Amino acid sequence: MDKISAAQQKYLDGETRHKRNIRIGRWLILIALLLLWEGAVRFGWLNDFIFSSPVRMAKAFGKMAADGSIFMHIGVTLGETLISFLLVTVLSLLAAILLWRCKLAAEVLEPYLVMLNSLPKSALAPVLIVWLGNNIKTIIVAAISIAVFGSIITLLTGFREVDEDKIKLIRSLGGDNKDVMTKVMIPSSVPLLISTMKVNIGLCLVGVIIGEFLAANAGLGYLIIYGSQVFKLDYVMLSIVILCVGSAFLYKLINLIEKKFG
Amino acid sequence: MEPILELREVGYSYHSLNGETKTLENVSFSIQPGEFTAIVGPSGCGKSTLLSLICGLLTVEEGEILINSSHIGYMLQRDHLLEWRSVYRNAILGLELQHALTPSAGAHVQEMLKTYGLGDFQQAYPSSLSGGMRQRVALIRTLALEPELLLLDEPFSALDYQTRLEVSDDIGTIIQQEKKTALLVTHDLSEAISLGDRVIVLSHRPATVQTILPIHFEEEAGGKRLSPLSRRNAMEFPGYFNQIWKEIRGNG
Repeated sequence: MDKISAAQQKYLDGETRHKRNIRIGRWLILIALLLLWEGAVRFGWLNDFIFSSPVRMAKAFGKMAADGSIFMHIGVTLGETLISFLLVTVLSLLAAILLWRCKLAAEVLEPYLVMLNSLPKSALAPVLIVWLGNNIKTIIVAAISIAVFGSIITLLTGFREVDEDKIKLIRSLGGDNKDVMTKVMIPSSVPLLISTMKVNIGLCLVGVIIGEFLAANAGLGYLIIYGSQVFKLDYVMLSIVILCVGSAFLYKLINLIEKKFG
Repeated sequence: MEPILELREVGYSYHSLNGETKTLENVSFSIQPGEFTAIVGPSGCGKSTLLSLICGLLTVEEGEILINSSHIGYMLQRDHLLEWRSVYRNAILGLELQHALTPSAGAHVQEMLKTYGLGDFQQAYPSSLSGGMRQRVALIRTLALEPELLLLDEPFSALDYQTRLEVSDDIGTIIQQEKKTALLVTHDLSEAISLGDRVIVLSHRPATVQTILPIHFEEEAGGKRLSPLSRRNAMEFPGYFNQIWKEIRGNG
């Protein structure tokens, strides 16, 4: 390899330092928040019975980890989120393909899609319990209903923006509708599909938590409601912190998929 | 000899809520096998519509189009290579769509890629190719289906001037070597004269055939065709240019 010039070396050092500063800054904020929280409780500025504290949360986590219950709750929420996320992805892709194929249906249904998309889906949750029962079905349907309509609209818009001439190309080479879909529409919509997935994974988590608030006896949403009802705020705060970490983790997961296919 | 393509009084209109726009009216001409025909006309006169009709992407409203060819190849203005496919996989797209990708057809495509200077780029992606190379891949994609009749819709118009001269030279030569019948649509008069055996001049919208001008070069009398670039330097070239220019301006 060529010898690196002094100026280039200086530039590289600068970039390395910049990256390190970002990392240090991020950790400092986290540590400062935890110390401030714990300190405020210790000095009596906050009441740890209602505000909990990092140490109390750690103890609660330790206790629940010992009997395995916390992992069960995390597993249930994660599982429900992934199931509803997969269903949203498949359903919205299928619906978008069908609506793209059938222009009449798309135009007829458009106002309904827009309405369903902007309807606050949490309003549906109580109805869903009555219809579907106090079980996982309600939770999954609640999660799907939050993400699916927006996802269909985004994908359909994306399909419509695909270059008309590319479709003409496929037709001139003797391809049919199916070929247009598999050779052009879907491959050229991969970046869009992935950005929709990034939004959907977050929305599904929101839907699952709403569902668990109302119709569950396990999961982090259930733990939050249970904790607040019996005034064990340690459980509530712990669940929220785990949700923060979990949503970051799910987002990273989609990033990995993006690196692989994007 | 029986013509490979014959148009009889073809007419076509575009329809919108604001009314009907007559694009083609009473267009008749025929093309013999092995002939290179160029169509010129003012922009927006319906040249591309004509090709879409011949190719069957649009349905004829008036008149009829008789085609005596099992397969027609259509080359569009831009190359439309699919960025997520390698050069080779782009070139075999048509074969794939027609379920005709046999080992020998694949080998034929590889052979053409090699012959036309793309041998080392078979596994490369379109983004790493120059404009001229991309257009050659697009031509090979069309030729892979072994069309008897090639339709070229301003295939050089998206290229810069220098590349354009090179590519039209390349592609003209390739089409001659592969002995294809071709119908080229262009608004570039010198391109039409440098490539065509005949130039058909269309009038303003609604387009109809105004003149059909056979192109002859003295140096080609022996049967050997000049390359498009040397045609541009031939003595007769400016004469043809002026003649077509007058025809087009005259109907303005």
